[in-house]
Amino acid sequence: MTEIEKLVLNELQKGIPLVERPFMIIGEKLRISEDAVIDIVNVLKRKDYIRRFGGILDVNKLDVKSILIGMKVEPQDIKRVTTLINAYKGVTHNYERKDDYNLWFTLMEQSQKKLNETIAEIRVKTGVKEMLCLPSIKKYKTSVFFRFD
Amino acid sequence: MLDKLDKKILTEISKDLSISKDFFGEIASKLGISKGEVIERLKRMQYAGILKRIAPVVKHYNTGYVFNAMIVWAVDDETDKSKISMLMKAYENISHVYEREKGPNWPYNMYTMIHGRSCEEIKSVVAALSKCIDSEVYKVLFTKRQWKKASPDMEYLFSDE
Repeated sequence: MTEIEKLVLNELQKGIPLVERPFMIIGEKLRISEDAVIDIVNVLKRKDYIRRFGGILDVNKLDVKSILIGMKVEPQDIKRVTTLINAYKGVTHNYERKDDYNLWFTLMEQSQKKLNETIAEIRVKTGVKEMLCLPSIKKYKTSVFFRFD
Repeated sequence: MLDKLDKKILTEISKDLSISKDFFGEIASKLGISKGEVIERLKRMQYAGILKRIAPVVKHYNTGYVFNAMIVWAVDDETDKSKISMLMKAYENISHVYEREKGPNWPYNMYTMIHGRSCEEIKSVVAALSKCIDSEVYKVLFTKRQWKKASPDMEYLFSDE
């Protein structure tokens, strides 16, 4: 990443202002033109440093119910189990981790009832016996800042 | 609290948006409303905490943050969790701090996600944090493979209503 790309990415991660010309404001802050900001964002997208440019929502403020689930899956069975789990639209993250509980995913659904139903279905479909269901009690932070220097 | 139009706006901005001078105008024309309306509604939803921000979601792996781990901490029930979370939050590369219910044979109740450019970076943050919060019962679960990472599918989550 070039110096200016780092500067723009650091600044944009804080969120753009909700005004008519957000990239003009960002440009003024960084002392570059509005066009330059836009070009750099598109370059960063092309370089595959940006997954998506858009709204980051707090789904917990929308009646959405979510849960973290950890599973003990036999290594040779990982592919089958992840394929089943990833097919659910409410699964946003699914990671293999170095632990006895080696598969961790988050699931969100429109309601607690639907969440319970999906969990039960996943239990049956995957046949995984050891499954930790860990509802959150409190969320203290969900945002990250990757500083590029 | 949210009407149909709010939900349409949230669904629209959950996508990867095109970047232009008329950023909000483009969103507005897709929804057939005015730019002013989009901005006003977004401001309201941001004030309500529903919209955290409009920003790039960094593919951190591609930018050099290749070491990622979930750390699970067993913290005494009597301990002030908000104080602990303050200490955890102080680290810029800790992205998530959650308190969760314990499980059977699973004593861990505080969760942090951490991203680093080296394994040492992660280990040193964890060691410092362990000292800081006075907890030595924890596990570092390094990411081995990412099988899925997606943004919430708002079209799906708003369905059935």
